[in-house]
Amino acid sequence: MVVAAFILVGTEVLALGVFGQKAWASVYFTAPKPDDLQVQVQAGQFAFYFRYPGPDGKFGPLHPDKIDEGNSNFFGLDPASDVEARDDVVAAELAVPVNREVHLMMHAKDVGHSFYVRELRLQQDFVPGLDLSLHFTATKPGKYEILCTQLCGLGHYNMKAYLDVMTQEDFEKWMKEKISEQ
Amino acid sequence: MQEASPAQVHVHTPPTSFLRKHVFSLDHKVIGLQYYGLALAAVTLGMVLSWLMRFHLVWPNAAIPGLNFISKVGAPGGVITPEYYLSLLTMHGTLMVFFVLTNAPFAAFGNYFLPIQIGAEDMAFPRFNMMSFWTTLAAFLVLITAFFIPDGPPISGWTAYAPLSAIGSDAGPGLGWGQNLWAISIALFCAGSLLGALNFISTTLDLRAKGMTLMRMPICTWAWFITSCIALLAFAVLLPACLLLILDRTAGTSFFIPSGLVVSDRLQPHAGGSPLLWQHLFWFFGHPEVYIAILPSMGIVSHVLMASMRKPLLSAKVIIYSMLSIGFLSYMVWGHHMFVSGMNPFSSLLFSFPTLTITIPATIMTLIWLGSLYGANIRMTSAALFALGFISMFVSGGVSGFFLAQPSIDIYLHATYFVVGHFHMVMGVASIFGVFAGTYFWFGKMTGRMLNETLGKVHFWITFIGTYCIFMPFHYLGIVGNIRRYSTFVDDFMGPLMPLHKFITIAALITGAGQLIFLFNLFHSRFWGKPAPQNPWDGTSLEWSVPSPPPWNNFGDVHPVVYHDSYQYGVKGSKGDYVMQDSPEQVVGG
Repeated sequence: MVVAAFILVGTEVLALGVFGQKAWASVYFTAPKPDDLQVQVQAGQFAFYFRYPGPDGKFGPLHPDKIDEGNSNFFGLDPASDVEARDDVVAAELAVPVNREVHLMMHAKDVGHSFYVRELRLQQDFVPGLDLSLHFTATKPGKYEILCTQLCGLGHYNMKAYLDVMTQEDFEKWMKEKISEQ
Repeated sequence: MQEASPAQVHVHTPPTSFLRKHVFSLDHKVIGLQYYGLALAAVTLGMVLSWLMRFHLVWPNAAIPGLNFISKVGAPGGVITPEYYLSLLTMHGTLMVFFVLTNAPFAAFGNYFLPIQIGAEDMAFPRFNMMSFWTTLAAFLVLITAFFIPDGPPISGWTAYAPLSAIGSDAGPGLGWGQNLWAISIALFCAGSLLGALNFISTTLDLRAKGMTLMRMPICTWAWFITSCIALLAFAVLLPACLLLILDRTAGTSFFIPSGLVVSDRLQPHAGGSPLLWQHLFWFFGHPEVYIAILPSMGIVSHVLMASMRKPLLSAKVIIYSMLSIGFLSYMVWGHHMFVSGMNPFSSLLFSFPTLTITIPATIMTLIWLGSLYGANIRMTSAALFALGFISMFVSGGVSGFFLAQPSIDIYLHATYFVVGHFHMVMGVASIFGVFAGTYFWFGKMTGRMLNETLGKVHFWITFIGTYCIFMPFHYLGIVGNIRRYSTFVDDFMGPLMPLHKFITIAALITGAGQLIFLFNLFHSRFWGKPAPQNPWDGTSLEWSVPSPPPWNNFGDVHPVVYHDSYQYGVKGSKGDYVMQDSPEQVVGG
């Protein structure tokens, strides 16, 4: 009977493992598409901020010592000395066009956080000191909650943002508005 | 085969002074009871903390009377702040995992019964044994102090992930001296547990009585032995990890803190550290730790079941080999706590295979228990009920593990209530049911008086139904995306789930109240219970061959000789349907 149990459970375990790795590989081991939308997300006690590269397509360098929440310089940009930083678009929500792959570049400002969107089955921790990536393609327009799921302090329960999946035209409109605001 | 006579190893004279007999005792039995008492204090406090948490989740603005006296800062006017909720959560986890689940099934019962079950006078190192208890008690007191300092207890969870736990008070309330006290307490706890594990291992290997081969030891003895082997390596890693954490916090080192962190508008003066290093060190301990929590209960349940059904298990040998495999595999799976942590995703895949594999010995053990029960005539005592309840809880809690073991599913379920449901059912319920089974089984032997069986059965049914009502809904909550460690649910999405949360809270309060029956039973029976016979359950192992309670040196001046294993139930013997291990009667096999 023990042998039977061994074979039964062993087979089931192998099956789960083998099929499971296919699902995992589709998330982590698939090469990103060349025209993916690059967005940076910074998690810090207790908010998410998102940065788009702007018309020049380049992200300006980050300077942690220049971070000034009071003046909305969440990322620590220095537009005065860094040319690429001048047109970077910083937003409090993550707007993405539908059916386009997004390359989310994740870094943490202070402690560990995590990025979780229920409906899109996305979850990835932020690790201070590491630049991590998350690739996804949203297929349904809508507004989805982004929650922090890694205990980060007293405001952890309220740390969230919104993933706004829009049509391509709406996204371009949104981007134009944001650029003019900067 | 080890034939050393235990008497020569360490002859000590019987204790005479009150302090030596009841306080600073070298007697493994007293030390076992002291551990049990400590676990009882810890579980009571841990449960109260959980009630406060559950209350706050469904009535966040309620003023809890008296709480503002305990912490004016954490609960002004009795209303729990978000940071205080996290403190309660941290202390609940720390108390329960360390001071209850490691102390009660392992240190308490193991200390009391391992030497007796192998026929020894005491542990191999009675002085180390006493030191390990007092170190553990010191750890408990250091931890409790955190409640009374101005900044309050730490808020980083029992897992204390860096850099939140490593940076210091810049990272928020509760992360000043509270976190230091936590780290010191856990470091002390590790030291105490290491001493205890060394003692268990040495005693099992060296002090077995004549005829007590390793394979003749009762299953629970094997469980304690394997647990101490696991504990020796696991706590040996957590201890330096805590010391490194203390250094990062106080000596300016950067084991776990990288450069460039801006916390509370201050650039932190650290560089070069890795938060993932803390996670690896912690979980390298943390996963074996959960097997430290469950293995002794598996052993106790096997032991109690055989006496209750009056027949041996289908194969005790397979149970023992399964426990050995679980112990071995437990060291290969720690990364399953870190599937989405940012570590190399290939590592996640690698960790998932041993994680799925460890389900095999666990399933085999469950099938053996269930198969042995088939056709058995069970003496339905309170101990037997809890042993059967253990199997139910272990299965219910264990199956959710199959889901979490797969990284692709864990992407969705990590950090949700699904995980909380899983570990509460296997650790918080199943393991505790093993402790209850052991208590009802061995109380008479330890104190000389029997626990009340009627109260025991009432206690069982309230606890069995109550814990199912509390923890099964957690799986549903997790699947719909209810995140854990949130002090309040502010999303509109959570609104429809609040009635379920209220149900859970009320179930928790009722189940908690039901434990008062157990406490009452313990204290009342201690003084006024029915006097305990030497062998109330017709058991075969050596603890039933000594008086209740046993004399200071367990076997008096007799050195027990063992003739067979402890599974001689359902055989014709001079005492009825069983043959005791020290009886020279012939049996088939054994």
